[in-house]
Amino acid sequence: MIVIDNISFSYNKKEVLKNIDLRINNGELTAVLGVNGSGKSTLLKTINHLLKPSKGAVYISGDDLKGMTKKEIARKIGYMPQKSNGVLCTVFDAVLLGRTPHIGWNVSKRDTEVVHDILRLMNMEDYSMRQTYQLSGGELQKVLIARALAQEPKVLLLDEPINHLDIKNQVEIMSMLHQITAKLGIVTMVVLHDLNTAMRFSDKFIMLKDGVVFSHGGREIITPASIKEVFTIDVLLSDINGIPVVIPAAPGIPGHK
Amino acid sequence: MHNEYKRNIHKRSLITLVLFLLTIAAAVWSAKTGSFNMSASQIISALFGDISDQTLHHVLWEIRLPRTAAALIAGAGLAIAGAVMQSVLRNPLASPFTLGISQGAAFGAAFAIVILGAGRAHLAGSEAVTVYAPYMLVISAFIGSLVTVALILFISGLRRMTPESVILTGVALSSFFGAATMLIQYFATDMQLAATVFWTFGDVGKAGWRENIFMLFGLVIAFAYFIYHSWSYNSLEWGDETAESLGVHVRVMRVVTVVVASLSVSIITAFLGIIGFIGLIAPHIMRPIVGNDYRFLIPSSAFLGSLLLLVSDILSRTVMAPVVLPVGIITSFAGVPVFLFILMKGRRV
Repeated sequence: MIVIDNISFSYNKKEVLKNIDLRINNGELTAVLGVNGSGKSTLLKTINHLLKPSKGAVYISGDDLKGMTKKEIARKIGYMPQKSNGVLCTVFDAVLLGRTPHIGWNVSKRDTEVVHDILRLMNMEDYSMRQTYQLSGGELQKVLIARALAQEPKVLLLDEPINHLDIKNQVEIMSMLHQITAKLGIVTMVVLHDLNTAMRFSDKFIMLKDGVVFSHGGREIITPASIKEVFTIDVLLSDINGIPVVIPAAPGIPGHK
Repeated sequence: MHNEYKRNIHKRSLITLVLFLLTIAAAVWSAKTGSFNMSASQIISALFGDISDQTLHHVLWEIRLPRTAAALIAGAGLAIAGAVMQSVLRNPLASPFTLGISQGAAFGAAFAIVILGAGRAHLAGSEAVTVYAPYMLVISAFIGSLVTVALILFISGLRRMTPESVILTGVALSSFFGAATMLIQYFATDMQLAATVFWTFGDVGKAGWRENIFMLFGLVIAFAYFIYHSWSYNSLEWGDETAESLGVHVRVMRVVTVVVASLSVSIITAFLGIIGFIGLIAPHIMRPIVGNDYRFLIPSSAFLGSLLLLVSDILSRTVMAPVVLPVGIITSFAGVPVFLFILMKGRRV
């Protein structure tokens, strides 16, 4: 379980995050929602202390991150940034890099076993020896997620893992994340833009507005009113065969009656 | 899959081993090369204490081997410094001299020669330069490069040591020290001017055993530090944020790496002068072959750096024999086409 206790973060004297209070249980996939600039990425980076919170604290299973070294934090939190450089190496080596906080110089048998298990869990064994530059966009995103999992984290933070992917890859990655989160009993927080994908695959939702948690909870918090408040657009919320669907419905959008 | 990974590791270890053996062969060839003929077997027996041929023993131990050792050490030192500089400065064009070490050292040398009167060129005779106070010259060149590095760390430190700020400060200071050197040269006598220019020609023949011990000391420290942190360099390849999230202290890592690499390269440059291109091309040649895994990139670049400098030095002694060209001229001449070839072949990143 992760407890985010009243954290704030300021950048150039401007408060980007204000008094964030959250408590997220193990095994839950949580979608982090909000407009561009609402503080979603900053929230993830403040949680794993890439950015030092100006106040407040983060606890994982009761342990305060404040006193921990970067290495100790990296053993508890796996993180996938929004942007990452392309690197010339094999998929196996790229995932093995996730073992960095656990190894000094020498790779142990256990390290390669962990990588092996994760590649199997994510159905990536077939291309483990391929070069990363030969991969499709979807495969590469899976490599980066696998690397974060190789850290054997209790908390997994993913910043827009399915952006720029086609719908097949989006669905594949999100359902895999949902399964893995439940199976490993970890906390997974994912920054998402597509509300339909978010509703389909997430257990819980955090809606951020101007650096403040507007609401946090289950499916019930996603309503036309809350979407109007957070994203400032009108939507229709319906369901098709029990699957929730959000459709933009503002006057002026082509086809709107 | 385990086996495939192991095979991959074995392949890279094998490549490193082959480079090591080639380096040894080039070292023997280097010791053989010169006007005094000796066979490989004579060299080997002389190495193991055979002193029956006094002249051979003297030529080998006092002339050939210090030169060969200098090429081995300097080549390795420049190559590994280049590899890690490219990593921490996130720039494929970074080299041991990106921080203006060469310009700083050249300024220090010019200062020693012209202002402190440490030496001057001398037209007649076999030696082109007479240095009255060799250690003053070396120390001054060393201080020149250290001052440059210190200034860069201080100035870019104000910008949180971002790779861009380090590189741009390096470019600015190189230009500054280049101008300062020219200013000194403008007021120098012809003989002093010739000495300052001659100093900048990198030449492994300048080193004796004592110089080699100093350079080896710098190399061993740098190699140990870099290899111990190879995982951190690996993670840095993916970007600062990824590395930080994997527990690497990126800024500390960047500063310490730059300092360690600069110290080792400053020692080499102060003793031998400026030897270009080895630090740039050795890691670039190895990256597509062993990948960006610094556990292998660092040792294999070291061997390739030694190998390239040994071969360049052999060429410098043979292409225009009996004239011995400064090796820095050969490394740059040979380095440019190799570098352009790599560029044209397109390194996929």
